[in-house]
Amino acid sequence: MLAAASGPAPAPSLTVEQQFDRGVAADLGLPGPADPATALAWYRSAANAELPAAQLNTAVMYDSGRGTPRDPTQAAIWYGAAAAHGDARAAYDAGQLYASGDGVPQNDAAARAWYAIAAARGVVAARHKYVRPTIVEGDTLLPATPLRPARLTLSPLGRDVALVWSSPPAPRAAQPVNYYVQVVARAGAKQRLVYAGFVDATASLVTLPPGAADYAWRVLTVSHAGSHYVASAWATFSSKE
Amino acid sequence: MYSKLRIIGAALPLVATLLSHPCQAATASEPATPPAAVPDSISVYFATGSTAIRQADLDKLDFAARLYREAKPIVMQVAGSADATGSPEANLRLSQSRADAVFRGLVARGIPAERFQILAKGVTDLPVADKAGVPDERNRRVQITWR
Repeated sequence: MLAAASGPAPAPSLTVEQQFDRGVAADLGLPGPADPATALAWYRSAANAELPAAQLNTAVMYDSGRGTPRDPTQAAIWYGAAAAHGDARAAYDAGQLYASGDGVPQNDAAARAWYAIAAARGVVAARHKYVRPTIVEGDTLLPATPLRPARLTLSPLGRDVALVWSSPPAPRAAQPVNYYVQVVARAGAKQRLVYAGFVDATASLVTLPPGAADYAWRVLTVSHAGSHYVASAWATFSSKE
Repeated sequence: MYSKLRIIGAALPLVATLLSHPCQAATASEPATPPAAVPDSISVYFATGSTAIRQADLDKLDFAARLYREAKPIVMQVAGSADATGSPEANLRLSQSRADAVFRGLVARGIPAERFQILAKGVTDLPVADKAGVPDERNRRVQITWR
């Protein structure tokens, strides 16, 4: 699925890696003039199929406004997806967006969680990164917002899908918080839990069962200080082989 | 506002609200800032004789690292310069040390080390053509470009 208005028509005959290579060629102008909008369309096509390098490049294009107006929320989505797949630099960059409140709510705890992940993956600059504390009025724990995937049909390379959400900061009394992700497979009226687990940062990699299916997922923000939680809305997506 | 937590696990209220709360967030996104022009290069400036990156310029390294995309043959070129005070040999070493400092800062931000070209320009090819002996911050710089 190509999201950008301009750019190439969908080419199902191309593998995901070939789509990424088309993106690089258009990005660099190899051959011919560089065409950032077309590059972004190819990157995004491969990113939707869960290619981490394409997810990182999609994030960078949105972050820098190359081939598109700058859109830090889209950048946060794709940094989060690449980071969920294990990319170190994407985790560092996601931390920066949360630290400054760029495209996502300013959330010092989320920024620190991403920096800790980046540091564990070898990003030295993330080790002692200062994060300005976020001031939260009141004592209400607000729900996360599912960002990706939502209302999408995915054809992932493997069965791993990156779930990404944004999260407002928790009030001091509720900290620390982490996130409990639930994914259910839906078949008619029957619903079956296929994944549930905790993560500290605002994205998670989930392995789907084999076969095409419809899914719904949500995130619960869980306060360990106060032993309470708040659930996000459900988001839906489908996978096909 | 929030519910009391009893058991974390399958016992969480799971599907009651499944279809009644369509996700609102799928495509809603408002750019918080106007479209930014992507710069062709980023410059980091140094104090006289110094190879230390100033605190304010560390943000520039973060910014540079965020512009770097994942693809061969994209390489990041880091070119150090020195101003026209001091001996040419010392300035060449100084420009190399400045470029190395920026290189280390970018590697520390997750860019693979093998994707760099490091250049020590000394006092050749300076941004501002000063006479020998003239201190000029505009020439005490490392320029980061990528392609």
